[in-house]
Amino acid sequence: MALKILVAEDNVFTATQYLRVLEKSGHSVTVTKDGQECLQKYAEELGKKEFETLENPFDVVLLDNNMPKKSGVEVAKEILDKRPNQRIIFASAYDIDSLLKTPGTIPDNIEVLEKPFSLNTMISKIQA
Amino acid sequence: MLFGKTSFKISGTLGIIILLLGITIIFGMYQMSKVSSEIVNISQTYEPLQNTLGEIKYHDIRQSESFEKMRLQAQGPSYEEAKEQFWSSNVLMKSSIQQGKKIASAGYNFAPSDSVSQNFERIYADFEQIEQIHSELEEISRDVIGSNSYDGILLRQIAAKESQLQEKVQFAAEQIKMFNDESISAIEGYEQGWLMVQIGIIVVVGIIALFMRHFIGQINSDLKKEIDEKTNELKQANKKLQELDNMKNEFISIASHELKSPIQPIFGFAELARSGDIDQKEAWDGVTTLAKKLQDLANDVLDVTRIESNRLTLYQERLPINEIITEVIGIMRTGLDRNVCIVEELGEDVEVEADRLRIEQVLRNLVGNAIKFTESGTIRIKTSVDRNSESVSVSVSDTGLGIPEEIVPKIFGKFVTKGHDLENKAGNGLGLFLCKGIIEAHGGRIGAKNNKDGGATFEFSLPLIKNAVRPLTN
Repeated sequence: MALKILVAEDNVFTATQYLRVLEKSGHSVTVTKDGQECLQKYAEELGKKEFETLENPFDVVLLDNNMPKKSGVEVAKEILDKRPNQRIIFASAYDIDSLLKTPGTIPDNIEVLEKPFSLNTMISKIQA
Repeated sequence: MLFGKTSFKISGTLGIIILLLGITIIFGMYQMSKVSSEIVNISQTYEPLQNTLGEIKYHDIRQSESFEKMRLQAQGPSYEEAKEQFWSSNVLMKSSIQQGKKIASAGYNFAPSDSVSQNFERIYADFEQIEQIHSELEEISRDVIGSNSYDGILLRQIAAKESQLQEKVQFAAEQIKMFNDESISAIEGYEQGWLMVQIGIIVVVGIIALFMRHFIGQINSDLKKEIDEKTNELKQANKKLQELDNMKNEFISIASHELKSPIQPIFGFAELARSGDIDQKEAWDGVTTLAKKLQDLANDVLDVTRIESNRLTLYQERLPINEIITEVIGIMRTGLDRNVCIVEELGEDVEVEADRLRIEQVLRNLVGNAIKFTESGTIRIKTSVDRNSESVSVSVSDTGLGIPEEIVPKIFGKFVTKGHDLENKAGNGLGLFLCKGIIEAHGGRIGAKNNKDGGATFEFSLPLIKNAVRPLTN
């Protein structure tokens, strides 16, 4: 089953690796380098699907938290405002524990992948 | 500590005031008792003299009376009785005079002061005169009584002597009274003098107390001012510390991110190389690049420590500054990933005494920052030589975002990052701090400002080597 995935990751190497393994598994991947670009891409895809309101623009959004311009938490909140049932996976090494412990900072239904993780683990999580 | 000193001063002053007052009171009491006992002493000294004079007067009157009786009754038993009376009064009178002389001479010997002994000397002389007049009177009387002829001339002589004697006695009595009064008033004067001294001491103590009050008030207000100042200083220092603490926290979070972020791609490269998804070379190149980034961060942190503890070692050599700039920019141009044009406007070629690697580090940092904050535009690197200050200045200006005004004063501080809210440009906040440290270690200066027409300019200067200008003929 090919999934449509939106990735936001500022580290060029990591982003390239995600792209490599996800495309190999047959998914369609859009890579963005910061939070703002990520939201832009999401909005663009959402605009295309104006009439198919039940379907989300991406199957999965994979977010790094610490990114230029907009943090992962901010991006997640804005996406969930538009699409409350959008599946989002957090992939971050940065302050993830304190983020999870502070209530209200990220919505409960967000999944978390704690860095460093194996690329295979990531694929299984996304395909789960 | 300060309060302790002040309370010590106050209690010391109070102690001195109480001590002075106490001394004054005790001295006054001693003085009063001394004065009254002296008055008693003096009265006791002069009293027996007055008594003796009284006796002399009494005997003189008795003697005159006997003489008068003898004159009126020429013969018979009452005449004999009067005669006996006369001579007995005469003896008593002499003895009283002797007594008076003795007392005067004793008073002279034991007198407490010269003036008092002079007084006794005069009294003694008075008694001698009384004795003299009395013996003359006795002579004439003896003649009269012996011849038993109470004729006019001798009687007149006797009457004259008698009145002379009485006058003398009276004079002596008055003199003694006067001496007594004089002594008492002298003592009273002396006492009054001491009273004045006591009042003086009390007034001085009062003045000292007033002065102390003023002085202590002054100290207190000074202290208050000092405490206020110190409190302000502490507040300022605390604020600075808090700012530093915030910056440090930010640095730690940034640094930990910088440290952690290469870990994920390193594992990723290993995983992909193992599964054969990418070739070995790509994996190793990636890992090397990531390791290099980690190394740079470690070096920056180490350099900060060196600069802060003044242990930055410079390996200085003669360097042609223009050549170094050209080399550094050449390398940076090749890695340029956006529409930015780097222009060199190099002036007179001079040499500086500098550490090549460090100067290259500064140039990479400044030009790197300029590129980072300029999406598209021009970056100019200029050099110019200032003959007055014997230095060469290098400026890097861009047409980018510029520096937020509130950041400008502290831009060369440690951990200063996030100049732009919108543009979260990556950086560990150490680059410019290191630039400043390196330039200042070379004896130069560094500064930053925003351009009027957008963008920022960073400029640093380095001292020239004497005669560093290459001769044009060469």
